[in-house]
Amino acid sequence: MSAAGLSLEVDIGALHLKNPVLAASGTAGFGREYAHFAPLFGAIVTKSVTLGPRAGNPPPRLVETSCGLLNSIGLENPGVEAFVRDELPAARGLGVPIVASIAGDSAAEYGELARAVSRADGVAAIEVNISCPNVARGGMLFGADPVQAAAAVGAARAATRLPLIAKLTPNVTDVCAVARAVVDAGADAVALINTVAGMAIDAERRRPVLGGVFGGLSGPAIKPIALRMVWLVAEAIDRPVIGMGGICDARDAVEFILAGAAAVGVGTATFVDPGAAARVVDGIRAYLVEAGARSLRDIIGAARRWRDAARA
Amino acid sequence: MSARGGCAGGGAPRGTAPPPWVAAECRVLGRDEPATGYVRLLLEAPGLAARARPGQFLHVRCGGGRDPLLRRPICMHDAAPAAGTVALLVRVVGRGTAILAASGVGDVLDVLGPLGRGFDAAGGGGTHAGVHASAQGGALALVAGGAGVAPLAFAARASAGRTVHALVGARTAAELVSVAELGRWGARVRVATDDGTSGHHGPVTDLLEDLLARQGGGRASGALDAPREVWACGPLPMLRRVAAIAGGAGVRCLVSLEAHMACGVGACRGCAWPAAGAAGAGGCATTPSYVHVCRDGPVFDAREVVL
Repeated sequence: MSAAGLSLEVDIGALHLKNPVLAASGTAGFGREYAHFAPLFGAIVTKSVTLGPRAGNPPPRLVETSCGLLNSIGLENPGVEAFVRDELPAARGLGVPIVASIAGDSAAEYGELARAVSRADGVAAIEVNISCPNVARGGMLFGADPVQAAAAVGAARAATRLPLIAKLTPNVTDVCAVARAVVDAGADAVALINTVAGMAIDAERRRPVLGGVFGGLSGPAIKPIALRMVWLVAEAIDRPVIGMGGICDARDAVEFILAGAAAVGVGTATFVDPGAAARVVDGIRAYLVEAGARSLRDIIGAARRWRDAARA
Repeated sequence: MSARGGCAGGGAPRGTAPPPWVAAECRVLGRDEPATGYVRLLLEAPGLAARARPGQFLHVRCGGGRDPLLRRPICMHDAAPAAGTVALLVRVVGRGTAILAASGVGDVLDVLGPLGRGFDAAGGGGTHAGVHASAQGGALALVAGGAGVAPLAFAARASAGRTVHALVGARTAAELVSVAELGRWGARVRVATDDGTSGHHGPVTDLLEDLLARQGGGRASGALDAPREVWACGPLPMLRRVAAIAGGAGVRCLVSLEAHMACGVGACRGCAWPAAGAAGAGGCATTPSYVHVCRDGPVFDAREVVL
């Protein structure tokens, strides 16, 4: 089969994608920052929005680490109302499905946010970012506990008919328990991993580098962690998994798909190369042609069958 | 240069359209070491050169591997639209800049740009993308500390027709860059070094104080050569002092800031800088607000930011 005729289409619940490469939340702004590159993505997951505007954390917010990027942005965003009013109209015009990412302080806020973005025109799906502190529970992350994660997703589920993607944090003991809980609460898919908790210290100045002290690590440094968690979660739930964490090129993306991901997210790599996602799409297609596959579906989770293959 | 794509990038926080930028692969046409610790690279970049404004930067990939991962923002040192070239001045401060500095003639650099808002070299209140509006024209004082001379040399060359006082500071004579070029472009150059090996023995800000005291400054002064504006680039303590001196003399002051960046195009919000003013971090501690160096700057009116 010719490369051109080979379909990379994939369905994440009711969300239909022309290719399986998403822009990870927080790495493509609200889409227009990378306007020229946006149509090349399967979908753009916008930066997480909260109910009110947030100024974000004090600088420094970034530090480069070995093969990675440590960030402490602090959910800087204009708030859901300004997002719907000022950002969505431009995002809708980009010619790519927009997945609105929401982040709440309480389960009730997730419901309000889901309702607000569902009412707006041009949102194809909602990402529920549960890597946020639950203010009422002493700041414990929603995503760190299956019960709290389910409460956030359940509140969003009750407020919208749009496809819901729960974005999971890797900073947990049992990611599968959280994945099962959010699926039971109504998530149509899960995306993982969010950034890995970390920090950096300035030895000369004898203080933490980041203004927020702790940050989230992204980039190629976290890929093995992400790959393992995608592998585990793909077995634990019967919903599509969107795999991400350090994907820089098509080979990285294919590894996630072989581990069980139906789609992948490209994040930090976009900062390094705005055209990275387009190259990932082309490279996945080339891999499928090389492998003699008829569609993406042929290779989703294929590495999970290695024992069978070894026996045959 | 081969353009890989263009983009109308960035948000538009102040009602101005963000500057368009391109991703380009630029061949290194020339390389020299103008001073200790500095490498100057001349890049073939016709599309960029035509749109580059003084104070804007290029976001340059260092190597192409995964470590170091991120691009490095480097202010343009010069741009020649007719020749289709852009110059970068690289001061080696870490692994990324060391890789850039090791580039040789014929190598290809992966760049995004031109990015950010630059100094207003147009004069007379231009409103075009990438440039601060409401320039007052008249004489200009440039204050450069160390590598900060890079965008100011470009600004001086682009300010033909204005009286330009170029005050250039460095730690030592061997680290002075662009002094001869500034003179050739008609600037009135004065030099300061921390160790006294060239020019004034002391901080470059002494020269600014002296200039503003002798010539006066701002609207109050009738002297033709009196600086009406100060543009500064250098270490943060120097910028603080420059802003204080200019403010005291009633002279508008633009500063070029440096911050760690990931995207360079306004997407990641990583290069936040505390904003001044009523709603800013300097005004009210409970409602901090931030500007972003890549998109709102790197050049700011000193009154817009907390220095």
